[in-house]
Amino acid sequence: MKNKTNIIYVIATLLFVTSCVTPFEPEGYEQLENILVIEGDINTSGKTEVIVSRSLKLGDISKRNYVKGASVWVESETGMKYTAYQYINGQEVRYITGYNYLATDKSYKLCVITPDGKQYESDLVKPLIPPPVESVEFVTDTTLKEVTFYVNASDPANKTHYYKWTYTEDWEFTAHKYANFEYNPLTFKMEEIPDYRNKYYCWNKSESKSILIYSTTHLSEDRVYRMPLVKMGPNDLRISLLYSIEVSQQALSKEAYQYWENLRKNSDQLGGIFSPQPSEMRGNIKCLSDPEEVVLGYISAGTYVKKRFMASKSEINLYWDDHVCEIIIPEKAVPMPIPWSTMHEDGYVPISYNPSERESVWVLKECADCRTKGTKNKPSFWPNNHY
Amino acid sequence: MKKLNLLLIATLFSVLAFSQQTERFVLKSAGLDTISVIAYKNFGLKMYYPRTPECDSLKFTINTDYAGFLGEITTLLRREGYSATRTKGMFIIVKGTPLISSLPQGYFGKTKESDSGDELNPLLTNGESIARSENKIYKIGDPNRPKVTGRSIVSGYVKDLDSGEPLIGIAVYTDKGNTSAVTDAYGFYRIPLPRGEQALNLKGYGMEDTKLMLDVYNDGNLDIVMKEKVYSLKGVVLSAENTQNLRSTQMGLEKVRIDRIKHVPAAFGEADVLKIVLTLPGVKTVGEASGGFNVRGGATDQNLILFNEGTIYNPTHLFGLFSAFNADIVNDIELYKSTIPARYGGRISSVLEINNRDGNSKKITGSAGIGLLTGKFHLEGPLKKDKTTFILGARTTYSDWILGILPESSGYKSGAASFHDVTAGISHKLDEKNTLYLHAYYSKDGFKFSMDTSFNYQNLNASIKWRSLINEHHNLVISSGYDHYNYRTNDVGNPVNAYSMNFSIKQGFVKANFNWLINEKHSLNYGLNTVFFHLSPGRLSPVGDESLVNEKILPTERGVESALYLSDNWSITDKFSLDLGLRYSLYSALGEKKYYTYYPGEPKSESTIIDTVTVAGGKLVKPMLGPEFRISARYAFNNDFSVKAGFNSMRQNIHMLSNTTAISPTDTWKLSDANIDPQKGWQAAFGMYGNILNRRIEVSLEGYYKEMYNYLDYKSGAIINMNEFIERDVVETSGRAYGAEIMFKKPLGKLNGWLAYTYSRTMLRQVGEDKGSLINRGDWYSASYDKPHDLKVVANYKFTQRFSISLNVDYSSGRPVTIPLSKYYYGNGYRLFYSDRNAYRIPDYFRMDFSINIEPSHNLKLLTHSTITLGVYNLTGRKNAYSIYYDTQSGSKIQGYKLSIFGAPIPYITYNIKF
Repeated sequence: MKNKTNIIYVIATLLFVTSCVTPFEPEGYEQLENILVIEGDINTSGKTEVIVSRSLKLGDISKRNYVKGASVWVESETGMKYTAYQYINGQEVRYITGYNYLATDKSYKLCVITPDGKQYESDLVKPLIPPPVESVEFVTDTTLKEVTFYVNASDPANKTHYYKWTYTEDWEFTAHKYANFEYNPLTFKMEEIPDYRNKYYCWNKSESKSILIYSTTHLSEDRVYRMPLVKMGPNDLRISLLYSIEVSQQALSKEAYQYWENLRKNSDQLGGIFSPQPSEMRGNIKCLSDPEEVVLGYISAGTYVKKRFMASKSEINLYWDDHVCEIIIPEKAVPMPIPWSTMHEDGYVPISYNPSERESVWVLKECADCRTKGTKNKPSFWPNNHY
Repeated sequence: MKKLNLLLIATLFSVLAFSQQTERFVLKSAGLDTISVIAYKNFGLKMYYPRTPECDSLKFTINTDYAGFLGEITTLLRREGYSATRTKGMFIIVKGTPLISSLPQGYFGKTKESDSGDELNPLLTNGESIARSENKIYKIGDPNRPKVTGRSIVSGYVKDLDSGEPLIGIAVYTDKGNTSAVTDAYGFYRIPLPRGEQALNLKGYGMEDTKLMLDVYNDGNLDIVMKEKVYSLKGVVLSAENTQNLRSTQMGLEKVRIDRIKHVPAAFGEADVLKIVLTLPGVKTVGEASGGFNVRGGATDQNLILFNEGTIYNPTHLFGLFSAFNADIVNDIELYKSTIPARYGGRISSVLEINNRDGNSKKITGSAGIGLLTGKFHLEGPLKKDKTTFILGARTTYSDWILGILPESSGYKSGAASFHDVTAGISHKLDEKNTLYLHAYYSKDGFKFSMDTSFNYQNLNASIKWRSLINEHHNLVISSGYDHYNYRTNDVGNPVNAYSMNFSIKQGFVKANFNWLINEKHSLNYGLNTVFFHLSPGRLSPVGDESLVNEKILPTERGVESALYLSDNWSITDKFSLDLGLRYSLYSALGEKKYYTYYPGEPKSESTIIDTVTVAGGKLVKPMLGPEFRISARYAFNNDFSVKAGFNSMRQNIHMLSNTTAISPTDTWKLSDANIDPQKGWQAAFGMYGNILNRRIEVSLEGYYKEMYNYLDYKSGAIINMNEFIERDVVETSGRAYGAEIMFKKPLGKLNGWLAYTYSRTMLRQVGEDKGSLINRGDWYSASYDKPHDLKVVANYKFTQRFSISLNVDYSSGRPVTIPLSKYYYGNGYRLFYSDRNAYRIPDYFRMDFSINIEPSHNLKLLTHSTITLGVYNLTGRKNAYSIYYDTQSGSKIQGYKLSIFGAPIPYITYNIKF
């Protein structure tokens, strides 16, 4: 319950003066690796995407140890199989089925055979259909100087109760300065940048990182009001021009909710004073030949509903650019003018050039080139005509 | 002149009457002169009487015959306060006690049993009612009463000469005869003594040694006063505590006086009654911000904390930083961690008894103090001199300033954290044999983290106690009271989810305790305890109109716990004594109640319900009866070495629901019922005790083995709060603990204190059918407070009476934690796979504190006395790990961090005034 988190804050506050946190390396115990992890929910109206990986030691810098060459398929309770094919994208390995429209009155399970021949299977799960997302909104808090995006959901039929969300963010931002000219180091000349090749407008995207779940069993209505998704401060680039958040909502069973809730508690950062002991909760995947083997992951089944919400800088009304870009006019530098090649080597780029006056204005690359923080890939749904 | 004439005439008349030779004497207003003449003339007796004006003015009117004349004179004289003795031709009249005209019977030979001769006035009486001087011989009992074989019981009160307060824990003993006694909580002692002259010694900490000469005839009463010792710096050969430890059959009893408590340095300089408990061997905590403590491997809810007979559920303020008891009012603390006397019950690991002082019965005194975070004040004194005294203390905090210094953006600047407590006591002496005591205690803690959330809790206790000395052998204490603990959390941040949650527990108790000293071999303690519980496990309410939170009230739990107990302290020989105690307890949850029954042998869940049972109001739901044995034995080889052994079995009917490592303020309690069995435990212990180095140092070595059953632990993902069917989420856990404690104590002298080392293990195991869902698959795992090595040193050095320093050292093995063994990526983030429960230990804990005590003025005549304490908590500044956690948010390399609560040395200063 929320009160426990608050108590942690109070303790942190009271002992603010004297308590401290220091990095720590525990000694004298063996770390484990290679525990099988299967992630991917069965999508009954679309593609099912599954990732099979193995766990790593804590100090390992790699993100994920993907398992290649496994056989993965979705099987219905009547034995109908839907194969997932392996797709490799750089380091990532995914197993994706085709578009399936599966009957929602039957149960399904996910089956995996790893390259070493061991067979794993999830329990048969019933698909759950979530209600549509009611709305996504934001609230700007001028005192605390932050904006929070919330999702609202409700099920008038009072059947859902357990909700899980993920979101993808897309945002457009600009460089601090608009560069009209660029310096060509091969020709030592200043070249004008046409509009369509500007380095001013860029886009970026991101996905939700935390586990966002909620249970409405203690409320009189099956209604979620203002579940916080993401919070941003006044200098966050995401809200500097145009921001889009697409929320994907699914319904969970009680057991799935408990699994995710336990996972969320175990990942809590403040693992201190009043948090409960972390403990492992079993997922619903078993190894057929060795039921005692630990397999991490919980497979649910059902559909997703999505909703996109966009907000502009003026609507959010929080962003201000705190970055000060130092401008240098090399021709007017003291004690002597700086050649353009030197400026280029030092990491500066020009933003304007007046050939008649023979004056150019230069700034650090990150000030004029938005590609240092994003890409020029504009999402297909973007509502403006920037390029 | 006129008088003389009258006398002459009277004499003449009487002589005339005489000479008429009648057989009757008729005298009117005759003086002794006349009577002496008559006595001589008629009986041949020479009359001797005091020539005092008083005697001369005596007038008698007599009308008797010859035979009754002397008897009549004697009777009349007696009425006037004189006695007459006739012997050898003399008639002797004296004021007051009569003369003995012959030697007592059997003076030259064997004593013969005499008939009861109670008509005679006692020849010798107890001259003084209060004994204080070595130079007098105090006679106990009535020498003329028939002599009884065996010893006589001498009893009475020992009080402080200046304040009149009863002195507790004073050793009363004789040089020969090997008997000793200790004054009890009311300053009352009872000691069987042989007949005849002997010396009675009294020794007590901080008091002048007293020696009284007694002449014991029979059972009798002797109240004694002792003077406070002003200088006690030189070494003393024998101390009262030395004797006490060796002589009593009590094992595992730790007793600490308040002056010791005040000298141990503590965080923020607050003399902390509970923190001192942590410096005793066998007592551990999980960490610094924990409000609870673990005694010999027991869980935090297995300690019974009694404050003036009332049970305290939350003994700390501000998350364990301060204790809930005012050190100015407390007299001492007693921790029973091994053999628990039969009169206590209800928890399976220990009993911590905190007692108030009665208050100065001579004059009104008090004190006030200011510290960094708290201020306190106390007042005590007589309401009616030597009859009624009161004591009152209050503490409050002004710690809001700590929150006020936080920056605005932290959001907690407007937060508030505060507590206050008030303690009051009144003792009233109804008469010599009966005293009445009233106690009350109230404490409140409140926290407001932000505009939206707040949390507060309260303790309230009230009790009344009547103590009566039925006769010299028998006394009783009857007490009754009410205890109340409740808390409330409020969260109104999100109007749709705004809620407030309450929990409360109330209990009413009646206790009757009797002490009966049958003879010098057997001393019985028996009685009855009953407690009625009323527990509101949880009440969740919506706050505000927009809140959709469902109102949920968990059904009230009611229960009754009753116990009958009897224990005999049996001195088989002078060296060997046994304490045999039996406590028979009955517990039952009470209706009105509705509960489910489940298939036996299956984990309890919604799918295994068999039936629903409804019990009407007031009826017993499931009575559980059982005996508890409390046995201990002591063999004293000599005054300096003794050996003890004990066995205890205990039952506990109330459980604390908590799945956090430390006691969190939102932990709730639950009564046993049809689906949750009471906890049971037993402990066997053995110890050796001795005095070494010329009795300057006490050594004790104790070993124990303990088992616990039905302790509650939780399944993963269990919801503890507001769970109506908690029986489905709990897993029965058993525990076992064993250890050895060795302690060296030097109670007196310039350098005093103690050093204790303990080696102990505590393991737990979940019991159940479905091995897969059990923690560690049902294998034994270390408890969170399992710290094998533990070393504690508390030392105090008194340079002068005004200046002393204290040092406190605490070292223990790191506590076990569960840490991640592997990481994996799941749900768009890094997740950790955890080890078996408590499979790893955090680094060892070491802390040293230091403080200086200065008393600027020590003149006894001054109006106020002040004390200044300066100190440093955590002198070495070691960052003792409280817990370990891992940051999964900052990239693929998972970094571990350790959290220390007091990571730097903390200096403090407090100032106290006593008036």
